[in-house]
Amino acid sequence: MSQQISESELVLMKIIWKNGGAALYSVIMEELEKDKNEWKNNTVLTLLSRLGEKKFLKVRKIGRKNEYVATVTEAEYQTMQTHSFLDKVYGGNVKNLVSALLRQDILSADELKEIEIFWRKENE
Amino acid sequence: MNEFIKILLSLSVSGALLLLLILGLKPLYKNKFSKRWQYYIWIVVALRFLLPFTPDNAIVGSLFEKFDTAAITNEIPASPNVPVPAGTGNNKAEPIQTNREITTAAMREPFNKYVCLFFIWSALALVLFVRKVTVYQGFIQYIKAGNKEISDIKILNLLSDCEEKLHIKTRVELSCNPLVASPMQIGFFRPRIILPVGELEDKELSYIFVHELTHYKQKDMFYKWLIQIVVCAHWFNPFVYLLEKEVNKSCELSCDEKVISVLDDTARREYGDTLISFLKSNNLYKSSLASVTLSEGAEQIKERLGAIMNFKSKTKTIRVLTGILTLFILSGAVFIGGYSVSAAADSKGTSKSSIPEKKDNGKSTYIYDENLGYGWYLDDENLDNKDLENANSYQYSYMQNGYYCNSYIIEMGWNLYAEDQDYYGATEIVFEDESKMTVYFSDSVKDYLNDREAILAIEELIYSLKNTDISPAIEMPLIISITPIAADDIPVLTEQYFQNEDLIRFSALFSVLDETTQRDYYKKVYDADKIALFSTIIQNMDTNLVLQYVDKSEQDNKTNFFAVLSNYMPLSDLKRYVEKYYENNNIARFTILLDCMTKEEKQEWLKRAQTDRKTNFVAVLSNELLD
Repeated sequence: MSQQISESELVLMKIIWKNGGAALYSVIMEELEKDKNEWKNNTVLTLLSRLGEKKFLKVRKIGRKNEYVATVTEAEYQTMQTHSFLDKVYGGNVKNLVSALLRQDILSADELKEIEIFWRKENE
Repeated sequence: MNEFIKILLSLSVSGALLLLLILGLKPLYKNKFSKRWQYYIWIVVALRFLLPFTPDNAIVGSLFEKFDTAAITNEIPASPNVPVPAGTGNNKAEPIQTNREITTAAMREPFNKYVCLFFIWSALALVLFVRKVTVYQGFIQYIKAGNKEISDIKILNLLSDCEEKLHIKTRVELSCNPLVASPMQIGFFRPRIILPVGELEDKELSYIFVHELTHYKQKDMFYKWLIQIVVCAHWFNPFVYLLEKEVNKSCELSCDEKVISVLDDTARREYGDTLISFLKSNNLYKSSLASVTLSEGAEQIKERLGAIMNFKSKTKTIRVLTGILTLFILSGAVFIGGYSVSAAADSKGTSKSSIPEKKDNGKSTYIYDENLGYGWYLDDENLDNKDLENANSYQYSYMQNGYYCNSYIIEMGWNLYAEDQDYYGATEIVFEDESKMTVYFSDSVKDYLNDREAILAIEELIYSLKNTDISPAIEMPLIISITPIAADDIPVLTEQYFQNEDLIRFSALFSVLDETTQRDYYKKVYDADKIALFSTIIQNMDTNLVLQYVDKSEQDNKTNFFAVLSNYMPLSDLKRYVEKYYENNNIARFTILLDCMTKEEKQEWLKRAQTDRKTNFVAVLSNELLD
């Protein structure tokens, strides 16, 4: 599962996750319309089957309808992404990441303290 | 093998002829008919190259047959190859014996030659095909390595629009690839469009999509591979490469036509611009076989652009004309024909009616060996139609015959190949001299296995046959049918079997008729032109009667009867006739009698013909001796 999910594919995955990890095609289309995404049927089908090929989705037949089931949870996916992001950009070193975040003021001193407290609690 | 090579060559010739016909008609249709038609018409040629179907009087078929027969005789008003069913009493084995020698000698040499040809052909065809497949696979792998999915919703939506416009239900994958220079479509069942890397305008994209999707819709990949099969099978024929080129060219033209049929004038110009823009870039990987690309070469693009600008909707008259020309070409395809085994066999019998038909049951197969001009019956139980090619090996070893014995008509075959024995049961029979033999029973006579009287009749029959010089000797007899007959019914039944042309039963009963009745039947059979029946009963005829009928058949010009009768003529009379036909320059009759001559006699005749400078006789004789 080293393959990357493209941005448009992620949109579909998010809809499925939001729906509890499985969604009918019609549900996905409804959600897309709510978000004012004008996606064509074939476009969505193409993206869904690509996700299937990458093993992020499974197709379950319900009568003549297809239900798309996520094989990973959102949290799992995020962990996976974080890992590959860390590996790719910071060579797996979290310290480098944190210092980069601090330097660019993305992470405030208060937030860092919060993380420290969280970290200690986790390790108790 | 021989037949296979002939069929292949005839297909090659007829395919090439049809190809030339359509190319020759090109000035008529080129600018008038739709490009789509000009594309698909080549399917007819491709199928002509591949399918060995043929009507009775096909041009190429008869051409090949002429070629065949010319090898045997120079001119034949009526072919000397008259079928003589072997499924008859065969007390006279000599004429057959001579035939056998000729065949085995004749078969050995060409056999090797044709096997050799066959292997050369199939090896090259196979190598070519495997190479094409691996090149294709290599290409696909190469392309796949560089593929990157296109996830841009805008582009995907554009593709979806085009799919909807063309009513394509299959999902089409889309990717871009730095390794390709112009857009292409690959995949047979899971189509994929591959775009080159680089910015493309929406309009351009939609033209590209419509074009590539049309390729998919036209099933061009299948078409191209069909043509590749033709090329592989007929690699020795230069015309198939012409076909390949024509199809590739008309493929793109047809596709363009389809695309622009939905465009207006300005859009058409833009479509042309798109074509040119891809011409400018260099193809990194060229394989026009493996995929259907958007552009090929400058020359072709020029023709395509011309076609685009000249596009007109087809009028009704043009459509009608298209229909007429299609019909013409299709019937051309059928009548050019090919060489087929069955057609050859048909035309070589003197006439169709002379091939006996066994009407009483549908199980029997009449085997007709066209090389020998010799026919015989086999039960389907023993031989499949598919095995016709192997029939040569059966021809003299298997005998099937009908006999009348102790108020039973017994139809018996013998000398079966052990592995072909498809019998229901068997019983051991002990003869008077205490020798034993296992007799096999076919499914239809299984009830007689427990019938003492029938078994006794079979025993008596086989014993009496064993003590004659019957050839081949009886081994592994198989009882095929048994018909109980009351002695009083014989005259009525004989007449009935005569009417029904039931060869086996008629000949069985014929041998027990009195001489006057037999004479009547000879006349009846002769007058009714029933050559098959005649050949089954002729061995009962005495020499004087044979000579009478020889004269009669000569006067009546019944060549088939003459041929059958000549086998039963005494040698001295035979020589007289040969002499006569030689003097009269009647080469057809002379050729018929050749079958009854020994090799030495033929050589003598050859010398004589050479001194007399009768070239046609020389040709026939030297051919005969060559075999």
